[in-house]
Amino acid sequence: MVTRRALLAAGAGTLLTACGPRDEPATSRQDVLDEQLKVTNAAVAAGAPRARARAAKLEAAGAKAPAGSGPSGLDHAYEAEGRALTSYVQAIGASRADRDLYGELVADAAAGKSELARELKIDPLPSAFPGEPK
Amino acid sequence: MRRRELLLAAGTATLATPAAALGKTPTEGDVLLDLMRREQSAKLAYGAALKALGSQAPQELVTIRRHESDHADALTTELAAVGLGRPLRPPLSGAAQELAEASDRRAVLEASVMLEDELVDAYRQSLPLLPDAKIAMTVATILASHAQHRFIVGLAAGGSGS
Repeated sequence: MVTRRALLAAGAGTLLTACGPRDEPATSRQDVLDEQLKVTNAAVAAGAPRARARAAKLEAAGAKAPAGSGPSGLDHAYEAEGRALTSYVQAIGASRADRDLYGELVADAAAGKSELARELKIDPLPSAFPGEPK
Repeated sequence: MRRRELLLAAGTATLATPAAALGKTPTEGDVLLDLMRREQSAKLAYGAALKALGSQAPQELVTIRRHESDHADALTTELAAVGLGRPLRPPLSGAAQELAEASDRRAVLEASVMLEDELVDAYRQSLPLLPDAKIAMTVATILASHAQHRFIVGLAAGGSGS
């Protein structure tokens, strides 16, 4: 679960942002969307089979990001799917506007991670709270 | 209406919050109480299924039951954050009741698929109703867990997982 420490850290971050220069924009809905497409494209490049459909949903919602790059293969796909899942969970905290979409992405990436874990012959259910930010 | 749809409708109706029943937007506490009751029911139903199957029970169901207990503990913390206590466990209904009453492996796995479908739907629908970012993120990780459960029990039941 997300800890009280994380809440306090998030609160402190908000406070610091509020005290910053007026011309420094807070993270926008578009920034959050773009970041999700970036991590999703990384999962596509790593070979996560479900990621391409999620990228299409993000693009349909207006997200923009360059194509992903980097090594591919089962291990890389598993790790990339895990990073995407954590990012979607954080996006739910950062943007209330797109929670319907991010909820859908969380469910799909979580299932995708279990699918890849089975192929790797590792535990497909290692945590009661998958995607929990560290 | 198919059997699965009837069971889903029954589960939703029984566990609907008082606010939702009155047509009001549910409060954060209402949403968390509904999710907690679902976790309590799921934990009890998986426990009954494990007892019914005995040594024939798939190991995954042991893990899933433990996860439901962990989810309930996490929701207890979030309920406390909004000034509410852990509710009494509700009577079983819908897919949870079906699972608790299943007597063979096939019936257990089919009911598990329906129950996890219900849970994934409930958690997804709850996210826009939670104003607190930290609570929403905790709920999102539990949604992820149920999506993984759904995939695993779907495979065990002979389906494609999701």
